[in-house]
Amino acid sequence: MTTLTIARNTFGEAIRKKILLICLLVAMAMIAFAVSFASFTMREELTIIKSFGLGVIAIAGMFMAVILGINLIPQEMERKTIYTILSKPVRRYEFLLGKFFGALATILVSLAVMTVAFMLMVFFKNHYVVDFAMLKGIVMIFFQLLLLTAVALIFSVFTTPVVNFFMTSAVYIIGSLADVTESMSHGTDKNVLVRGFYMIVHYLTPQFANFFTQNPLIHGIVIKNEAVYYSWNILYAIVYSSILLIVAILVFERRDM
Amino acid sequence: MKLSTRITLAVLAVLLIPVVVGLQTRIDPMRKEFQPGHGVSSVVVKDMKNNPVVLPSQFVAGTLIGMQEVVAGLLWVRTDEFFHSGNYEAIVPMVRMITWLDPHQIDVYSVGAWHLDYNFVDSSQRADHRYFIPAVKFLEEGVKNNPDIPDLYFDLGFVHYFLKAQDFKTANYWMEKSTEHNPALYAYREIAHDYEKQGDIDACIAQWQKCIEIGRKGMEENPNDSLAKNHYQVSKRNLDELLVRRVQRADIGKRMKSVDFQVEFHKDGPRVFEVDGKINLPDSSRINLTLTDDNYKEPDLKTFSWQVPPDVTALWETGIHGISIQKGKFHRKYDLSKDIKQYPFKSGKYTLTMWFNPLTATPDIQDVTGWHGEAITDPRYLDTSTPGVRMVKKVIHLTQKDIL
Amino acid sequence: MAAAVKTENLTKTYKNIMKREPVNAVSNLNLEVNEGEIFGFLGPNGAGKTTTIKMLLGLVYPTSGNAWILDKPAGDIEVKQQISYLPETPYFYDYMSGSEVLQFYGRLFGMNETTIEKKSMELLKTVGLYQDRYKRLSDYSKGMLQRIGIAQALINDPKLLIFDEPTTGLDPIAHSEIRDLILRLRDEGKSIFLCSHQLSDVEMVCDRVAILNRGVMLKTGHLDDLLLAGHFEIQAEKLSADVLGKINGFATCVDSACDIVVIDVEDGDKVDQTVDLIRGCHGRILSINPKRRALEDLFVEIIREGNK
Repeated sequence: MTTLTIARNTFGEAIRKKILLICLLVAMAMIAFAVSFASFTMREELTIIKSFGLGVIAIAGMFMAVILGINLIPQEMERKTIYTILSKPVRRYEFLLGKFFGALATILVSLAVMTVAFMLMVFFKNHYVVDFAMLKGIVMIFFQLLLLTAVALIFSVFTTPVVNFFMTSAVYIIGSLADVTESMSHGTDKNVLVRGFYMIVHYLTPQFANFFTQNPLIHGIVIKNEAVYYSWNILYAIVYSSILLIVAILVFERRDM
Repeated sequence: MKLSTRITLAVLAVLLIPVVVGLQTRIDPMRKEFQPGHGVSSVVVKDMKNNPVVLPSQFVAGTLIGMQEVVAGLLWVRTDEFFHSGNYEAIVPMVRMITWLDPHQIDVYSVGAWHLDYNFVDSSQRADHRYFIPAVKFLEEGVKNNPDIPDLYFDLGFVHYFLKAQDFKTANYWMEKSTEHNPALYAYREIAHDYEKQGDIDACIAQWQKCIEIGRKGMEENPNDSLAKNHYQVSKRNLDELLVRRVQRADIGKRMKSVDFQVEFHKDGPRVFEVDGKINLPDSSRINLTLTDDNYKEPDLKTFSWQVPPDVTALWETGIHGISIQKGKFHRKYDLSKDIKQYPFKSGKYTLTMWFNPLTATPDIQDVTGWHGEAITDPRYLDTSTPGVRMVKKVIHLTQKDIL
Repeated sequence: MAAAVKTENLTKTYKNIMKREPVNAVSNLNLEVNEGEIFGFLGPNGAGKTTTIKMLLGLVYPTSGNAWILDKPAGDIEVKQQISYLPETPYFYDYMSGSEVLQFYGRLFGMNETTIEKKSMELLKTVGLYQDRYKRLSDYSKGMLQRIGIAQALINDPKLLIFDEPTTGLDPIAHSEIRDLILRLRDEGKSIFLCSHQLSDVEMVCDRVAILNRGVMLKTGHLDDLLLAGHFEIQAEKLSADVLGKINGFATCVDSACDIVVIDVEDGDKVDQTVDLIRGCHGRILSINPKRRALEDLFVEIIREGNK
């Protein structure tokens, strides 16, 4: 119950943040901009709209997740609002989880708004047929953002927002290079230390590239064992985020405010 | 929080780590199957080292965060701009980069290949033949990356091998491949035309019959299918015409004709020359012409490089670009002084080949010559080296001073 | 009587990585606040008052020692139902209105919605914000924010209130209203732990005080005892100059009209000596009265002594 109260409050505050609204507007504008590439074949136009649309939603979502995540705890501490809350019968982990779920709710709502605009555009260009496959891409984006928010949250428990921004961005970039880290960890002509290093990076850091299913979706290619792949990815995001949340709770628990 | 709870949570977190690792090992192989990227094709990557392309940093940033498709789309817009501004050399690395980023952009392959061997033209709108092999190679890559799309197979066979190179055998191979993946109905008809161009009339008839059958089935399944109806009617008409022609040309060997092919080459100035000649054939027949370095060979598809050799000269006018015959005469002036890049003339020795091939002529001309040139003969230039066809061909060897 | 707040050798040491020397924010603090009293917690800036409060609230973990609130360990989640905290310059979420703030905090206590509604309206009236209850907090003045802070501190009807500088930024009228409120709360049986620099307020409301500096408690006790400790004023007449001179050595003499001397004896031990001296010269003692010092004087003196 307490967690829910905190979550609702976090959502209310976050959704009013001007920076988020600007982000949303920019994203919508970019999606609309994709329509202006009219000098191509029908198939090209649709491909461009779909790839731009998903791409822009992903970037906007990432931006939101990072901005929200890095400020979740530090903002409360800076404004001292955290003292009035934690002096009430609120457990520290309830507070942390409430902040996290509130941020997640904000991201979900923003994603939903952008998705509606995007799906409408695809609908109009696609001979008035809804392309439900695009929703699969949105689902992948959401779970990616869930994991990213958890990363930002765990860093926010012990660093400043500025440092956190770079750390979270770095983790994201490393996670996008899953192909590279995987092949480096299996390369036969490298020494054990280098392979070991890449193994640690590939298997222990969050691999965001797992969620990049936009290519087959855009081109109408069906991934083999699609349902299994998506389920594993969702599970991965949830399990990994849980680990991060547990560590965040444990660190936050013993922190002096 | 009690110490015991904290320890439990810590243990739980540690136990979940192998779960994450395990999931990742399962996800990796599945992900690699569908995701374009750094490991897509080692051949492509190796090539990139020989022809490194520098991506502006914002594009690199895009690829880092999984925005490859968006970057590919933006690059494609840029490529279009390059084409309109005549910056042809930039196009090859661009289309290779785009398809490296996203190997499923079908239109990039088909339009890109079309640009390559059709649209890199000189000041007289003659396409640069040296780009034929890169175009075809590019489409082959497209076909490899998109094996279930019929369009690319058909493009390769029809647009490039059939129309551009007039290599009907290879065209047939690729167009047949497209039929394995449910192509548009006209693909089947073009295969029939291709058999006719190869001179294999029996196969051509069989193919038309196949087309008619496909059309009929289509109309049965859906009486409103206008495409199937059209396909049926056109195929039927073509077959009828073909059968009539076969009958008419059955005894064409009894109506032999000497075409009396004569050709002269005049140099008008540096890189400017004229070709003049006579041939006893109906109007609108065409003489094919190529002017290449003596040692010119079409690069081997397997071993070529993407770089178009800058010192190779290959002027190529075949098919509809050939020299038209009017009243038994033909003439064309070539001013290559404005297109030194496309026709460098560096090797010193050149071969000018001119020929008439009845297989590629229009039906009314074939009514005179026969499909395979059965009715033609020539005292000097008859060429029967190609099995299944009688051509007339003259080869002239030129030296540097003949050109420059 | 049970203790509302009790600490035993409560210590907090911060390890400063940069300076390498650890900082003793609070050292071996032993204090006790009785139920039903107003306890003043005084000290200059940086004395360790806020750190102590944070330890009492479980926001900061002590390096050693113990603290109890209402007989439960400090930071215990259940005891937080019965306490409340008003921090110095409190901040709340700007986007909320006055009533929404109280609703939010009420929910954190697990109170049901009807109770929250009723209580918040009451409290808003009490602190004089009823007419502004739907305005956003971003539109509140400093004084209004302070008052909503007080309202949120009362929403759960706590047994112990911890106030840190509750009158900062308030005009004199509001100031006195807060003082009255604090006294009313004490009369209702609540305990108040008051941190304040407004020594005049402390003097007016507190029962007991503690003075802290550099993490160490220098003095604690009943206000009356501390302020009256041994300070006397003796009025006498017909004193010889000789005796006056001796008395001047350890006390302050002020001549007043009609030959009456007012002697200010600060050291309670010297009263007897003064009386003997006066009687010895056949002077006449008119009155002996205990003199009450200003808290400010006591405060400054104790701090200065502590600094030596």
